Amino acid sequence: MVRQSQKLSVNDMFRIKWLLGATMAIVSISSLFNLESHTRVQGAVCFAVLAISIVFPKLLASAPPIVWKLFAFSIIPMVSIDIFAKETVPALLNLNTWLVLYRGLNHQKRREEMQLVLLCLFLLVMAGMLTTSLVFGVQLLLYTGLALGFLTMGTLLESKSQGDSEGIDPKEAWKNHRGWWQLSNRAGYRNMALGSAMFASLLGIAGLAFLFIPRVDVEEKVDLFKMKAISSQTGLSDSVQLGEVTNIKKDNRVALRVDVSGRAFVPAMPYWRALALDEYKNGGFSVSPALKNMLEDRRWTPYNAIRFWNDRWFADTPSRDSMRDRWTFFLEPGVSKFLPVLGSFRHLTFSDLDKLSIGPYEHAFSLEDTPSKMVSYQLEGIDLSPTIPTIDTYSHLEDFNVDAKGRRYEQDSSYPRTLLELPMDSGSREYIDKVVREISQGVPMTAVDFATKATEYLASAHGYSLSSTLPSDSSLEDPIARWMNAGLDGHCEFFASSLVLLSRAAGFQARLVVGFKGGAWNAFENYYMVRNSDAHAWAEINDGQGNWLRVDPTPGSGLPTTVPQTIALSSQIAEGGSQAYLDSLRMLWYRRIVNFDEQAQKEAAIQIKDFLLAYMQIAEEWTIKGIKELYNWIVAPWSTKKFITTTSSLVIAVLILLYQRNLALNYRELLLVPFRRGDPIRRKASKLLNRSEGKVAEVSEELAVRRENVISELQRLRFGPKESWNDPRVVFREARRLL
Amino acid sequence: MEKTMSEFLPTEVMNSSRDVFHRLKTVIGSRIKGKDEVIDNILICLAAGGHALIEDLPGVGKTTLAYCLAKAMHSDFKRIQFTSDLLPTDVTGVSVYDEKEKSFIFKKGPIFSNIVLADEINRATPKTQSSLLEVMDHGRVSIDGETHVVGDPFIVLATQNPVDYEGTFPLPESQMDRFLMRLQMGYPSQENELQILASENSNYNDLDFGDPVSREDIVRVRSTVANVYVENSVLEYILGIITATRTETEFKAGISVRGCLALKTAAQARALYLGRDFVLPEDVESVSSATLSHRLNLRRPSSDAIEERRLVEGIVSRILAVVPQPK
Repeated sequence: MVRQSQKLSVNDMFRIKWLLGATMAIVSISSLFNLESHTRVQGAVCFAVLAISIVFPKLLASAPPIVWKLFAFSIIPMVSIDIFAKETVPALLNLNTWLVLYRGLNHQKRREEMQLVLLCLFLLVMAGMLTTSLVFGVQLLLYTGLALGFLTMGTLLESKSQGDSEGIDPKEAWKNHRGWWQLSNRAGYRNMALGSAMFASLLGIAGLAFLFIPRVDVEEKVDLFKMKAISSQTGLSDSVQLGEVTNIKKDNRVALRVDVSGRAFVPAMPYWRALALDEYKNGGFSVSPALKNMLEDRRWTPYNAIRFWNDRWFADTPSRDSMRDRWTFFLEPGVSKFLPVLGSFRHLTFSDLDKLSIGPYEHAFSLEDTPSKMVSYQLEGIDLSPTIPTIDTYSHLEDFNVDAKGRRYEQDSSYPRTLLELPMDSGSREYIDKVVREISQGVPMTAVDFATKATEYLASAHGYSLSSTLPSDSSLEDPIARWMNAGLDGHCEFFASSLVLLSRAAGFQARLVVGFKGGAWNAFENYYMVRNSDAHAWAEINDGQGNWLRVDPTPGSGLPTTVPQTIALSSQIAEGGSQAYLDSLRMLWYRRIVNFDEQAQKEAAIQIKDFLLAYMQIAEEWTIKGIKELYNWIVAPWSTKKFITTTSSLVIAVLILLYQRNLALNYRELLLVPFRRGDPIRRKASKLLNRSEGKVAEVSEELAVRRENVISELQRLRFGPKESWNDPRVVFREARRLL
Repeated sequence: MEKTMSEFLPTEVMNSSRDVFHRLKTVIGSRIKGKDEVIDNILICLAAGGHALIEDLPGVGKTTLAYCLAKAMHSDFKRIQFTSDLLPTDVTGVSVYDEKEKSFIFKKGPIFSNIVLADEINRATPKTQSSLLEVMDHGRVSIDGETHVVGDPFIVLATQNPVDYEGTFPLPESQMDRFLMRLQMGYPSQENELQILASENSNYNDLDFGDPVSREDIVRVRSTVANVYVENSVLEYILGIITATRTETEFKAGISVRGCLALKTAAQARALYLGRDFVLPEDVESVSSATLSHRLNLRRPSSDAIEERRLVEGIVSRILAVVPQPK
């Protein structure tokens, strides 16, 4: 880049700026040669013309203005030919090429400089998009450097000529031109080298960043990014104390969005199962240590899932089975590290399987941490029945009870036992047993029957309430037993915990499950909105036939059944309103942009492309039709009336054309008139006057006088009578230049 | 940019006004040293066709100013020393019976002049003071059913002493309203006073004012002032200032409509004085204090006239700071 040098005159700078602009045009036109399919004639012609002009710039300067006007007008027929050829992209490229040539040779005003920069960029980017070759990168870099230099030169020239760069006479500027070499000798190598070095170092840094950033997990390295945007909820963790799930219910934000595609039937009441908790202690449930170790052991990745579920796949791409229904889950940040799922499934798609660990016994899928970003995953072949297959305890564990350092795990056999344990005081235990006897009446029954009876028993004794205070003066220490004994109303956790305890006392393996229940159907984008307030706890009971059966004892949930209850997707009652609409926009964003499914993104891109192509085709048809009609109208016989109307319309059009400079004056202000008070010209003058206020610049005496003049002219425009105004356009231009 | 200044008022009119002002200012300025602001204001008053009340201590140049003004514009000058026994007819004139003509003839009083210096106006009785009213407002005198037109241009320069209030009749508000401006002379600066001391002590009559401005010129300037353009937003600005004085709780009453018009005229006169054919907000701001403050009375009057004047001017300048200027 060239910096201002003492030796350079305004004319020198003018020439250097021209050279930079022309070179920039050459670079952008050279990008046309990358295109295989595009005809190279135009590109070659323009390249040659530009190159010759650069070598013999004086020739160009001596060209009379009529040449430029003719050139500008000749572009129209050249481009119309392309349009008639019905090919839009080449037509656009050609139009751009001619315009670049025109502007590259002939740019003097600031406006024209900007046009050149933009035209070149447009041509370059268009050609680059069509080829995406490595050359494009080089051309773009070259262009950037030249454009920077070009704009810098323009600015320097503007300041050196004291705001009158547009007034430089090109003929005068080129008169003393003795070749570029001579000029570059005077331009000062130091500044040029400095500018180039700065640009090069910028490129270097950008290149380093380009290479470096994808290889470093910024979020890991920088503490700042680790901040959790939303405070984590504790309810859906591997240890749940009484009331924690209910706590989440107060939060009405959406926790989970589920996209159901191509599925005619959905569960009448979906249970989004996050985690099963087996160990009971004093009113709270948690995952027993043995299972917790497995969940936290990073070796239990989904790659080992085949040991437990021989019919399931975990992958980072969806399966090829297009017949399957697909449920896409979008879990909001901060909700839980356990992925809610509907139940048993065939295929789980997750982009980063290394981050996922599985808990086959409790049927849980856990991330390392509660995610701080939205997490999406997809399930296929979901089994809608309320059961989950059991896993034979420790059937596949032989290889896994050695840790990474070769130490053997202490054989922790607590797990299956915890499913039956009832650690509590004897009073509570006696009470629970008494209730079990009351339910079973001494008759032996299956797990399902017992669960049904127990649910009925609990529903008859207790009502639903979100808040309940346990009586403290009781001989029973266990809070659940105390609740049952007191006959109080309670929330889902009381019901579910009671059922688990009762089942265990009756000899059935049972555990508590936490997750979400239900959710609102958003009809704008067709998906489930599961809110934090849908958090729920229920129970699972081992039916002794290889299944965990869902039992939801909370009143209003229905009796346990093994038959899946489904309804048609179309009969879902949808949530309306503006909130649902806003949420649907988020879903749209997730689906199209954030979703791991590239296919959807491709589809969106193709849709946009198709739309544009269709639009362009229609535009083409319209144009051609219009031209044909015009032609027919012209060749049709001319009556006197037709002649008169045509001539008068032409005259009016010409008058408007002549007058349009006045019309166009302050077109922006004119458009804004309805929104503003007062005369647009007065407003503009006022704006410029305000800008001049407080600006005291060290200027030459002559400039100071001019400035004073322009201020008084502006004052006249602002406060003076309209009859006395000078041409406001001239005043404003002068003011912009001087103030 | 083209230097052609297109004008609202014809260029020759603007040029002649500029010339008139320039000549007047040079002539007066040669006698009254270092009082440019007062001279400017007096000339603005003259151009606006208003009268001025000069309020200051004796001996600071009030009479000299009036005299110079009169001489500089080649017009009649009369001085009336107001005393408590001055009668209205002493001001306006009286009809006397002429034996020969067998009829009453009107003997013109000193008010029939172009420039009248009403010295110590507050010493006269209210009756005499009010005899000035009609003359100041309409430029004519009505006596015995006959109307006599006073000189044209006609400007009353009244003076009053703000310190010595013993045995005076303070001017009623209606009278005050008729003055376009109230001005203060103030002491000259040391440097200027040294010049005054050094100069030969000459009699008024000896003063040479060179080529005086004709009365016709003054009349033409006055008619031009009315044509100076005031843009809507500036009018709104004037109205804003006036409204603010009316809502100000410190004042007994706000500015009258006459005062409002006076402010506009004064601003127009200042614009013309500065060679412009349109009014800027700064014109309004610049003349406001002199034009408004004597028309305003405090709700809780101060014991001292100077103190009161200071207070009122303070409130006016506060109002000027608050009322948004059109930009």
